[in-house]
Amino acid sequence: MYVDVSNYPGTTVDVHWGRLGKDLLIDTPGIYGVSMFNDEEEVARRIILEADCIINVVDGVRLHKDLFLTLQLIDLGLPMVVALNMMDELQKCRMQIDIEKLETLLGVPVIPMVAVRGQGLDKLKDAIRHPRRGLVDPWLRSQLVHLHREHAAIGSPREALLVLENDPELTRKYNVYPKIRERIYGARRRRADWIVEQCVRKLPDRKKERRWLERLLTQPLTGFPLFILIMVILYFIVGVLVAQLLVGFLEEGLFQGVYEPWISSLVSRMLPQASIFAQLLVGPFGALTMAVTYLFGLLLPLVLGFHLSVGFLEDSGYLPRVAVLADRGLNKIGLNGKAVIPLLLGFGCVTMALVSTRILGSKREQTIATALLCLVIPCSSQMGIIMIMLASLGLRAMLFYLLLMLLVFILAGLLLSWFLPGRSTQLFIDLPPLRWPRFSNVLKKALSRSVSFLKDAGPLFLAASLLIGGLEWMGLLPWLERLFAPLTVSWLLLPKETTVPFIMGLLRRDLGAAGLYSLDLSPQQMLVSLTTITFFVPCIASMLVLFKERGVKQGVCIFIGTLASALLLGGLVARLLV
Amino acid sequence: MTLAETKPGTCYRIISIPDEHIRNMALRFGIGEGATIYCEHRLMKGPVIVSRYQQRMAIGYDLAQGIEVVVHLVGVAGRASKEIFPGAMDRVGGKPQCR
Repeated sequence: MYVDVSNYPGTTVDVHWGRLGKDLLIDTPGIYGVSMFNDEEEVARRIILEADCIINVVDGVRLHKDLFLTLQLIDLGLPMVVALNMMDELQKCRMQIDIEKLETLLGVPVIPMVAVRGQGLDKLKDAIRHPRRGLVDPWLRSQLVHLHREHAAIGSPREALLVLENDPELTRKYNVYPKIRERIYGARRRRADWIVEQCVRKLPDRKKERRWLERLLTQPLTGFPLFILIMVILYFIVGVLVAQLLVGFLEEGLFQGVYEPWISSLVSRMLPQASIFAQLLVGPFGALTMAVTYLFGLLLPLVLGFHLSVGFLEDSGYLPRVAVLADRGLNKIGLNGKAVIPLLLGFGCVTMALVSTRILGSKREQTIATALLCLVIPCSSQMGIIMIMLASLGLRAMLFYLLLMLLVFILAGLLLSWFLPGRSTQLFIDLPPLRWPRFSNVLKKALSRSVSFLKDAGPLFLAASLLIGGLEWMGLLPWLERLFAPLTVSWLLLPKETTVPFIMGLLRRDLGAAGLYSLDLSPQQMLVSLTTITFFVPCIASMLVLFKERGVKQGVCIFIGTLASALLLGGLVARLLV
Repeated sequence: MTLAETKPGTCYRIISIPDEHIRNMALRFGIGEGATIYCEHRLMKGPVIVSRYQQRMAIGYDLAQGIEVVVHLVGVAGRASKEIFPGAMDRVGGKPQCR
């Protein structure tokens, strides 16, 4: 079982599972405590309460922070093992942990590990066979006994502790509302601090700790230019090296030059060329021609290149620094700096980014971020095609497009923050250490996400090519083009042939963009079509996640809103350029 | 004074965190009323970056305006500080480090 992890909070917001022999192993979202403070904790809480054994992965360098959760799990009475990770970084920071003493003070097995290198995994697998319940704070134990005497209906010790800590679900269930959560938290924090004092030793540093990099990245005067520089480098890697050079070779040279003629001749030996099956398979919109070329020759290299680039940013610890930089600006549109994480992830895959909006502190912020992701943010495959098309239009067109996106982002954010009810939360984020990413981890993540892209996009591309191929064979495409002419020709001032890419865009925006890429459009028409497809409705996979995360009512509003905005903006840009 | 008014390079002790929810979140992160923190860096009308032990946190401006702090006095000479606040501060590698 491989699970994406990154050097910033919010990577794992979903649940992943696998098998360890006969046992079921579940990876929960990363949490700081077991309660219902946010969606991640809600999900993790349900799994933790049902578990037979807990593996609590703790950062050895930031032990005092992670021990809070460890002690809470011990207080819940759960059999557990502590995996003390990042022992290599501990050494680099010239710190030492007395592991035996830590085991004695906690009362549970503690296994030192360097998980990325696999060190300590075998010992961990053995330790899981013999987990232990740890040493509960005696004062807390007396509170739990007192609660049982007063309210015998509260069955398990796990539920009893959560009742004392004001768990909303359980306090409602048992109609008990204690007021000692802060005392419990305070005592737990003091205990964690005391354990750290007993077990952790920091040796004198040989050289002074360098904080200049932190200041460079988070001061607006240097931070913003550095951010723009990093984005330019990202554009160069994805937009030039991959999109133009690699895709040029793969799509035109390999797939259209070699593969498509070969597969067409193979199919034509078995099926008459004019038959519907031949058209569906190897016609202009063929499942074995257009769909395969777009998927493997055009989109897969772009997606892989993008995920490799973004993976470096994720694992370096840079993204939370971007959150700090962006916090003041995002406050104006009802968000805080943490929202930069799902917004930047959206440039990789909007579907994934919609799930990661769960890390935001309130429903209001989640709705604003979701709407902005669906309206403004193009995913990596769509972005790659857009970059290729913009590059051919020149610098002025590119600047116009970027300014337009920024304007729509700010306007949409302002309108949503003015009219949506509720309060937004403030930035309160852990800043992980800055580190050089491990290439093997970045590559594994990029490959895993690219394979997920193929699994999501493949069937939809196939369905789209069969649908469009079928419509073309039946002679219905000209009819569809006439039907949508008031929109495409009269309003967007585009040729009627753009109808088909926009219909394809209803299934997947990158498919729509790819369809536009293959048309012969003037520079102004290309800019209008790019504008429209950027703000177009989210792809089907995103729509399904949208309905699941935000509900049907909000999902429908966002769908209609993005479609109307895309057509309105496209028409306005068309009139501006004429 | 509030956390939003702190000076980078100085240690502070947290006096109060008014919001109950933020107080509980802060305890989980490792800081609570009475804890000493080091102000790493502050953006103008923006987040404050503080550290405690090996951990760094960023706290938004509006939130920082609500957290009351007081300077955690070291004294000019390290020996004097240890007499006043035993074990409170260590000079490690030439830089003061809050526990």
